[in-house]
Amino acid sequence: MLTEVSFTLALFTALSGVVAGVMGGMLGLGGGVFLVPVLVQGLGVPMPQAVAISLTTVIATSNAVSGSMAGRQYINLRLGFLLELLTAAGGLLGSLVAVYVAPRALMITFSVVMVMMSALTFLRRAHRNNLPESADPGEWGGRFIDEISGEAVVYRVTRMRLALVTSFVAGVLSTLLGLGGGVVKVPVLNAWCGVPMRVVSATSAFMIGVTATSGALVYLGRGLLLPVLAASAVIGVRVGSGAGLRLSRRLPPASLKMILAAVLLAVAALMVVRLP
Amino acid sequence: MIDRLFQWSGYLSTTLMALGLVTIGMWPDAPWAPLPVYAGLLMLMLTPVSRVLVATTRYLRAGDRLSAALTVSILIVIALSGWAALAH
Repeated sequence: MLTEVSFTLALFTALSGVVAGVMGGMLGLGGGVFLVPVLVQGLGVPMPQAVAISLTTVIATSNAVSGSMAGRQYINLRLGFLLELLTAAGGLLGSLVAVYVAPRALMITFSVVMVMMSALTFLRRAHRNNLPESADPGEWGGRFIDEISGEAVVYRVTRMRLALVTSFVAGVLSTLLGLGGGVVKVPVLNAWCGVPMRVVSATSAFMIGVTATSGALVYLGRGLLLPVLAASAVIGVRVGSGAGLRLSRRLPPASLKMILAAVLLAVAALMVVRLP
Repeated sequence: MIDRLFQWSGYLSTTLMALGLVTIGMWPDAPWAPLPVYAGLLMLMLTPVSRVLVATTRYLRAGDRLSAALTVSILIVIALSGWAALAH
């Protein structure tokens, strides 16, 4: 276990936090998928301590995005809580079956799914989930004012079963692979379930913080959280998430989807590189 | 009002962590030096749970029992997953 932290290590951790924060603020991803490999393979931080730092930054991203989005109707709490229940249940199952799953097969399957999702997100980049202003959003949908166009946007959640199953699978994968789960939920909810990109990313950012909290507290309790590195990463994330949020408000949804497709492809590539 | 409070708690936790990095850098052997960092981390980690609790209260006030039940269930499942992680 790492006990001494140099200034250089803290600085590079903070810079990695900036990148993770930009991803979180812009796309609603936790950034763990980027931060963990950088900390482990790039900076030599042991895996459990890297995961602990990553979980802490996920909470920081979530807090920053949730605070900034308050009152803008982008965060769909009801839908988020429903999906989160399934994600948390999946996480529970994941923690129970972790010892029986072959990591290599899981990582290969995950990489293939990520490539497919990346292609899907890219191909459907021009697709909009907006309904006419007079439309009924249904039980789980909602309304918000788009900051770029200034228009009221109404959306309805479709294929609810798919959304529920995806959330459960995301929970299992997040535990087995140490990810936030946003990389699975964001593309599916946007491409197939009728939820606009801004709502998906804001809701996902809020919910990943809730998911990460239990894990982070466990690591903190076990003494695996290095306070200096965690603080450096969190400060980096605060800076990065501010930039990510500004980009998210200025970029049109099609551009955000193209960036998401590129990130998903990079995630798949990272996973292949990390194959045991 | 509460949303603004959460926003400020985010700033405060980051400030505490930055202050803690300074105190650790200046007095590396002092046992109290990491305390601001720990206070900031704890404040950071309690914020999402507090948000869920606030949302539950809002749903109960609005008479939306389904959503309130959902949020309470999430807290229970998260507590269970934390327990499972500790047990393994």
